[in-house]
Amino acid sequence: MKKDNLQSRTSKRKKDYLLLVLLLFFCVSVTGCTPYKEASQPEINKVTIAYSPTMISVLVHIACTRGYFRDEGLQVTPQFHEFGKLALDAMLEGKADLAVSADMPIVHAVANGKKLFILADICVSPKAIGIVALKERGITNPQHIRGKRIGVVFGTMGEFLLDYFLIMNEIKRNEVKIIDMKPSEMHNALTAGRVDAVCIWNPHKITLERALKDRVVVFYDENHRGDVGILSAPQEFVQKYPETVKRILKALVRAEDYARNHPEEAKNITAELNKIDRPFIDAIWDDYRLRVMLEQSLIVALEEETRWLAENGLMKRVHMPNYLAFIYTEGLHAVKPEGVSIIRKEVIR
Amino acid sequence: MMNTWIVFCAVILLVLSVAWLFYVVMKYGEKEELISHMRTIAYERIALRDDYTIFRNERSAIQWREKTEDLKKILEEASSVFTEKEERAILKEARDHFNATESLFSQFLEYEKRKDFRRPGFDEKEERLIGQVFLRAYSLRDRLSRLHKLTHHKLETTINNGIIIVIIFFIVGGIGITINSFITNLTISKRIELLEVGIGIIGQGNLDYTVDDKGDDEFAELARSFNEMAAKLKASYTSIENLEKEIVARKHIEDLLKYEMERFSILIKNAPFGMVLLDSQGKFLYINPKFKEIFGYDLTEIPDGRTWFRKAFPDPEYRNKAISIWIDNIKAHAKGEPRPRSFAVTCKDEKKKIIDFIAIEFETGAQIITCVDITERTKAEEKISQQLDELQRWHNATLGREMRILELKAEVNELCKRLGEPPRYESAEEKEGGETKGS
Repeated sequence: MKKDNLQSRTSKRKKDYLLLVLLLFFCVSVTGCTPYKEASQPEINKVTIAYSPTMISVLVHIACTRGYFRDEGLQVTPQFHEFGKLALDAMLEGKADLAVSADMPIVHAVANGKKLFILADICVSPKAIGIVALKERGITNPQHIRGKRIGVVFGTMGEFLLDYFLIMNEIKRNEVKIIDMKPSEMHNALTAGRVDAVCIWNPHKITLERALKDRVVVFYDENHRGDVGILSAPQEFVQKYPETVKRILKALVRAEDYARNHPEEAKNITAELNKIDRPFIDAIWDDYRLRVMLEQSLIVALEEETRWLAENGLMKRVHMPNYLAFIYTEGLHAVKPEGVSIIRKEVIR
Repeated sequence: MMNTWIVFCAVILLVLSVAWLFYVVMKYGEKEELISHMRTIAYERIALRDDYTIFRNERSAIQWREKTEDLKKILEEASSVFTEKEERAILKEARDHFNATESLFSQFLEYEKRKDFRRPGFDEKEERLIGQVFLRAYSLRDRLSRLHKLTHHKLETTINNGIIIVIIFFIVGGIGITINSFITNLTISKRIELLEVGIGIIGQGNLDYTVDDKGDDEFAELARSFNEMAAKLKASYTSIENLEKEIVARKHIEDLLKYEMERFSILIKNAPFGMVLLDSQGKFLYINPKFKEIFGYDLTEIPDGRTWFRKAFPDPEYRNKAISIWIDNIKAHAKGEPRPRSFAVTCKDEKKKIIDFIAIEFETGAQIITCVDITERTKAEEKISQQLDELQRWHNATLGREMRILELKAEVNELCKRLGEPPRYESAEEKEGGETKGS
């Protein structure tokens, strides 16, 4: 009898141990299966992106049109401007959270002490900006530019590339007359004879080429990096909402994949953005590389443009800025590490 | 069998996977080597470019041009090696940047030729050119690095995929074998159970029972063999049964035969005539007691026909005659046809007996001969014959005298008639008529 009781108690104890082990196992499993959530960071869902209806903004527009931002839980409001510099200005004035522009407006902004971060380089094309010159004014080769009137938008990559073009062709700046004008004014300026040539980017360049046909000749320097599209944001915004930045970049990487894998649909979106016919887009599409990157060459380009500003007395600062402090690599590194090739100190574990 | 096929297929797929993996690793190894070569030359070009940019010596410009030619050739060669879409896109960008560096730095070198090499610093154009060269050089480095990373990533992915495929083959093969073994076990158990049931039923004597032998596997074959065995067993069992029946029937026949033999033996032994059985060679096989009684010989004394003739017919002349008659008699009769003949036979006690023989020859050549002693009968017949002869003679004699009396009576009656007297004797006709009337 005593022995039976002892056996019963031992058996019950074993069952209790087994239950305890199973409970522990269950708890560990449940804990293990629950995704780890990082300490919550402040996020903003409503974002305004300022960009121009030009080729450099195609990826942003694809992400908007295809709903990639929405998929990331973001409500993005596009804010259109005639060209990138105006978009960047709007951002710097606090009218937008992010902006797409070329690198020259950014160099200007940094030179003027603005606190911003470059988030990604989203477009590049060596043929995006060219000099459209009228043949009837005797211009058939670059040297014929000497002594002519050239229209350009001041403070943009157009002005910088025009200067580069002149230097490469050993034409002094005082040997030509450079006139500041908006892209929308250029067609009339050319046809009315107010200028002999203009330095302009797409889609205005291709529109002029198609409109004036054999009357014009276009000069490029294909060795130059050309026009680029840079996505930037105020440093305060990036530091405050790094997760939002990552989501935006993630959506852009999806847009990049879409443009690569569905070029025809992407061209349609681009035509709609640029408000030009599809054949125009077909003609220039292959000149553009739509990809989300942060490359070392970007810093070289920014520094070159900064030197140009300094040489032309267009900047207040004396020293060359450290552009590494103006490039936010963490965001892109988190969503597309292979896209970041800026030389940085490696984290050796 | 199924497991063997699964293992065979898994091994084949495994070998193919390993071969494919080996091929891909070799291919990506070749690509990595090419990229490494390109990167080395790119770095050499950078060093030579910087050497020239700082010291303006012709030697470094010449070396830079040589290395530029080398890299150009390798980039061309790379076009045929990097064939995938993404690789081609990166390679195209790399070539564009390379061409730009070549063009820009060549412009720089050309521009420098026109200048005094002792003049320090850069002018505006040189700055722009060098700036773009640097920019493009970085871009070229980026593209080569990306190409290297991409190749390395693909190599790693391929190896990982290969390992996963191998693991999948093992897992799928193992699962396949396990499932097949499980199903096979179930099937085997079921089949064995059916066979056991069949054995039980057949063991109980139901040889008409057949096990289900549908299918094309070993168990179907086993079931067929089992059914064949049952059929043979049934046939064998039936044979034994038939044999037993046959034995019973034979025994019955033997009993009947024995009974008939006994009856026949009784008949033969008690037959009122002698009987002898000869084989086709004339050997005496059997004689019955009556034969011995008639002739006095037993079987040892007359073993064959020759001895018989010698003893039965001691007179050579009569013997030859008897033999001749015997042979002619055989020739004159067909087989199975009785051949009656009588001979005067000398018995063992030297007495002569008239024997009536009836011989019958069978198809086999054997003969059976019956012998009836007709000596007494012959003598009686002879005596009767003699008495008949005497009676005939007496008859003949008495028959003439009666006729004469009748003739005399007829003559008396004629004479009476002539005398007018009534006939004295009744005539034969009247007598016949009166008898008729009276009847």
